[in-house]
Amino acid sequence: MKKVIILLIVGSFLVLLPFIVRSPYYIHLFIIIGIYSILTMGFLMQLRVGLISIGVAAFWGIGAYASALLATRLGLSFWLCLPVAGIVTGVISLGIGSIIVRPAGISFFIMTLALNFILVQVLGTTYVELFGGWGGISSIPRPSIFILFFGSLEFVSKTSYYYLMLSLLLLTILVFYSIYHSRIGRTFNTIGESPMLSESLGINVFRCRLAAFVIANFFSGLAGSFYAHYQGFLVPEAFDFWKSIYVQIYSIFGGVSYLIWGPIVGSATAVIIPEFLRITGLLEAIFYGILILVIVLFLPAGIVGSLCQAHKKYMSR
Amino acid sequence: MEISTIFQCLINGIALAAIYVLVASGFSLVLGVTRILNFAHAEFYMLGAFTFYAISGFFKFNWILGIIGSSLAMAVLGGVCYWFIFRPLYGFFLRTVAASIGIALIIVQGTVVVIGEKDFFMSPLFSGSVNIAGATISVERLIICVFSLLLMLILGIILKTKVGKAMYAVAEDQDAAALQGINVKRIFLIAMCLGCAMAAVGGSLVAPIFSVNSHMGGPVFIMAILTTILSGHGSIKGAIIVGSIIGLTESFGYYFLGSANLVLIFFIALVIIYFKPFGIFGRVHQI
Repeated sequence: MKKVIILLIVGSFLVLLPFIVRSPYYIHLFIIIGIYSILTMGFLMQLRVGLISIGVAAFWGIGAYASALLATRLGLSFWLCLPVAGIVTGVISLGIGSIIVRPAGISFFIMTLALNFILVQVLGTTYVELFGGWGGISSIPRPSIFILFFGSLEFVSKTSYYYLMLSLLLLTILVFYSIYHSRIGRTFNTIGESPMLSESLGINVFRCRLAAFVIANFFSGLAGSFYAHYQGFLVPEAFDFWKSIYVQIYSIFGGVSYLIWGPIVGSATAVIIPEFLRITGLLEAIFYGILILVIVLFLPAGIVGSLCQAHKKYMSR
Repeated sequence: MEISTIFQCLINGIALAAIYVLVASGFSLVLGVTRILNFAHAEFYMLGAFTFYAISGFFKFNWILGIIGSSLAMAVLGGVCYWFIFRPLYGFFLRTVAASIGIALIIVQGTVVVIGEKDFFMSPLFSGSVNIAGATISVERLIICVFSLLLMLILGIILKTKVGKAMYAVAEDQDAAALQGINVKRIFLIAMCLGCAMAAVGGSLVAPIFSVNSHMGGPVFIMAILTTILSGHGSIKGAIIVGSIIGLTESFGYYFLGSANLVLIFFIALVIIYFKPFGIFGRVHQI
C-alpha cells in the first residue's frame, strides 16, 4: 500500500512536471536524465550477471546512428526507426557479445571499452559520406504523430519530447521490472551471486549473460534513437568512452543494488547538482571525480542505499 | 609497396609496440598482484610524460635524469593513491574500479584546467637518422625499442629477486602468502609504485617523438590493456608478442586502410578471444 502511494506521488509529479517547471532548459535537463536513466538501468542489468560494461555509450551511439541514417538516407518515420534501431543494436550486440561475454570478467570490461573507443574513431574517420565524419549527421527529421481529428502533429516543444521520453522510460522500467521479478530475473540474481554455483545448478551462465547483454543494449539502442531525433544532429564525440564511464558513475551514485530507483536517483543527482552549483565543462568532470571518491569511500551503498539505511535506523529507534 | 615503406612501417610498428608493452606490463603487474584494475594508469603515463617534459624539455636537464625523476614522481603518486584510496577498498572490485576512474577524471581534467589542452613539443634528444634499405629511420625510435627491451629485462630480473617471488606468491594466493610471512600490503604498495613508474617511463620515451598533451593517455591505454588481456596477464613474453602484433597491425593497417586499422585490431582481438578466452599465454582467472 505504501509503495503504491509513493509510486502515485512520484508518477503524478513526473507527469505534472512541465506545468510546474516552465523553463525549457530545465525540461531539457529532465529529458537528459531520462536518457541516462535508461542507459544506467542497462548497465545495472549487465552488472547483475557479473558483466561490467564500459561500452554502454557505444551501443547508445549505434542505436542513434542507425536511427539517424534510416531517417535521413531512407526517409523512414521515427516510429519505424525507433524499433529498428533497437533491433539493429540488439543484433550487433548479439554478434559481438557471443564472443566477448564468454570469458566475462576483465576481458569483457576491456573489450567493451576498446569497442567504444574504436567505434567513435570509426564513425569519425571512415565512410565520411555515410557517417558524416567528425561533423556528424545533421537535420534529422523530428518525429510527428497522427491523431484523429487533429491531423498530424510534429514534436516541436520540449514538453512534447518530455512526454515521449517519459513513456519510453516507463516502457523500460516495466520491461526491466517484469524481468527482475520473473524466473529469468532470479536466475540473473543467482549468477551475480556466484557464477560457479549457478553453473553447478545447471544454469547456462553464458546464455543468461548474453541475454542480459542483448536486452540492456536493445534499450540503449532505443534511447539512442530517441536522442538522435531529439537533438536533430549527431556527432561521434557524444558517444565517447567517458560517457560510458559516467553511466557507471551514475549507477554508483544511486547504489548498484537498487536496479530501478538507483539509476533514476543517480543520474538525477549527477545532472542536477552540477547545474545548481553552476559548474560546467571541465570543473564538472573534476566534481564528478571528487564526488565518486567520496561516495565510494564513505557511502558504499550509494544515495538510495544510504537513504534506506537511514530510514531503517529511524524506524527502529 | 616498396621495401623502404615496409621498413618504415616495421620500425614505426615496433616503436609503438615498445610503448604498448611498457604501459601494458605496468598495468598487468598492478592488476595481477593487487587485483586493482587501475583506470588511472593512462593518467600516470600522461603525467610522467609531462614531468619528463618539465625536467628535460623545459629546464634542459639530462634525459636520464628526466626519466628517473618522472618515474620516481609517479611511483610516489601511485603509492599515495594506493595508500589513501585503494587500500581501504581492499576486496571490492567494482568500488576500486570506480575509485580509479575518479582519480583518472581528477587528474585529466585537473591537467586540462592547469595546463590547458595545447600540445607541447620538445626538441628531439638524439638527432640523426640511419638509412636501412632506402628507408630513413630516426635514431630516436630505435633507441625507444632498445630501451623498452632493456626495461623488460630489468623487470624480469626484479621478478626473480625475493620481492618479485613474493609478488608471484601474492598474485597466486594472498592468504597463503600472508601465512608464509609475506607482508601483503607492502607487496601491494611496491607493485603499485613499480607499475606507475613503468607507465611514467613509457610516457617519457614517447614525449620526444609525439607531442605531449593532456589527452595523450587514452588511446595508448586502450591498446595497452588490449595487449594485457590478449596476452593473459602475468606473462612478460606474452605481452611482448601480443604488443608487437598490435603495434605492427596498427602501423601496417594505417598504411593500407587508414583509420579503419582500429577495426582490424578489434577483429584480431575478437578472434584471439574466441579461440583463447583467457589470452594466448593466460590461465583461467577469476576477478
